[in-house]
Amino acid sequence: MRNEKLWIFLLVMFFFATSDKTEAQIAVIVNESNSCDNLSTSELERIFLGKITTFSNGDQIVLVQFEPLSKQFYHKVLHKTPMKVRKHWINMVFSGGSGMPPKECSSLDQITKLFADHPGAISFVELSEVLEGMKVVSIDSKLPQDEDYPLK
Amino acid sequence: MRINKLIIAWTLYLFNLSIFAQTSDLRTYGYFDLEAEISNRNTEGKRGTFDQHHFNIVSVFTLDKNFRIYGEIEWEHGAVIEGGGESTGKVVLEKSWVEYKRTDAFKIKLGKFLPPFGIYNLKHDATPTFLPVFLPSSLYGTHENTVGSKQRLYAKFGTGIQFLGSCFTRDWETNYYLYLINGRGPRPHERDSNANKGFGGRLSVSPPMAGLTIGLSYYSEINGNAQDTRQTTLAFDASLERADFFLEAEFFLPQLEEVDIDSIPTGDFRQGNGYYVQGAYTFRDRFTPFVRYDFYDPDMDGKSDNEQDIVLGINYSVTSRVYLKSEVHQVSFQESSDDNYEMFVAAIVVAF
Repeated sequence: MRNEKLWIFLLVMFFFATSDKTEAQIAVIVNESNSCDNLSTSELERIFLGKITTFSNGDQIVLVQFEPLSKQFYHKVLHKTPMKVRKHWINMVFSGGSGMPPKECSSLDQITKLFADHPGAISFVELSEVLEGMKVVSIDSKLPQDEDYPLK
Repeated sequence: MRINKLIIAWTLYLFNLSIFAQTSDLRTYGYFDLEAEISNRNTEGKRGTFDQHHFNIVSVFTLDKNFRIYGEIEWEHGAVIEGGGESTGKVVLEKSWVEYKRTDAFKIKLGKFLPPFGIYNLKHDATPTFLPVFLPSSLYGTHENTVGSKQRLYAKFGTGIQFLGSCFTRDWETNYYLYLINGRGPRPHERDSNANKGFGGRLSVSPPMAGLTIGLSYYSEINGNAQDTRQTTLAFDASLERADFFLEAEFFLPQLEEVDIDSIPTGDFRQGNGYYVQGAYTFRDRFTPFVRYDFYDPDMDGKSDNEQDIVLGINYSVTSRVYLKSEVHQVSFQESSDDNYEMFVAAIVVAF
């Protein structure tokens, strides 16, 4: 009996140790001066693959990759691993494509600075970390708080 | 001497750009590869060699939201430039163009560029962008033409003007390219050797079926390097990418004008065809074994002169920028079995 309890305890511990951490609630953000309020999932995918390079107001899109969330974001939006995304950009650069690879940021301070310098910046952060100067864009008309938000 | 000046000019160009980069956007990239090859390709028996094939520097300078400059210089085969003429390898300005972007659907490129022919000519030498060490020789290699010299079935480089763009409608994606270039000749990037211009285009469509892209390419010119014979090639391609599975194929129809005994173009054409099929599967995000069958028949109506290449290889991504490639080729020629050969080639390729 005592052995059984020990096994159950070990199994439960193993389950928690191997299960994924809780996923962050991702918000897609643009510069607050940007008139873009909503993107479709296919537009978001094309933007982060460098196929769409300007916003409708004419601003040049500057991709900003927030490293801590990049794996989760690319999996949900591009259905690709970070390795495949980097290969995609290598392909884009050497074939002369219009899209420019994302600027990589590991902290919110770096993103804030890039947003101040580039009105066409677009990135993704955790919803709770959206700062002044950033505007959350809805995806398929859904906001991160909504039940059926596509990036959940 | 002229090449030395080119290198100095390029260095100064990069240096100057880096000063401007304080306020504008300059990005510099590049790639490197070293190949090792063992084959019984020549009659002297087994051969082994290293080849420091590419060292390329790419600079992209975005002036503003409408204009950008793209330049790529290549040091090929470990280029050594000696004043006394004892030079080896090549230094090539691969691309040098300015792009005006009105929208994503309408852009103009002016300068020297790689004509977008087939799936790969746009990135012909950029080894980090493709799985194998060598692209399919049927479409991307050289073949003997009707005047007895070896050339590609289209111009690898071109200087001129190109219109291009991408259009999106819901789940469809369409890319188009149209270009007018000098065509091949003795000095193709400086002056045209004949009144004709090389003309070509490419259209690729990605329908809603996930991962599928189909394309059509066309190129025609009067070739100043082939006794002013007309050469036209039409190519169809399809690629399918589903998760870790990748399949691609290209089929092409070259038409090369014949010449008479005095090397005068006759108006009659030699019709060839060729194709390749390549399949690959990626394991654990890094290991990608692939297999390819490559076929070319330069003269559909004439003699038995087909050639084929069966390739088995693997591409291993050490990181997202460093790749190890190795492949085995079995190349056979229908007409002369003596020319058949096997080859093993391995390479380290780095993108930076």
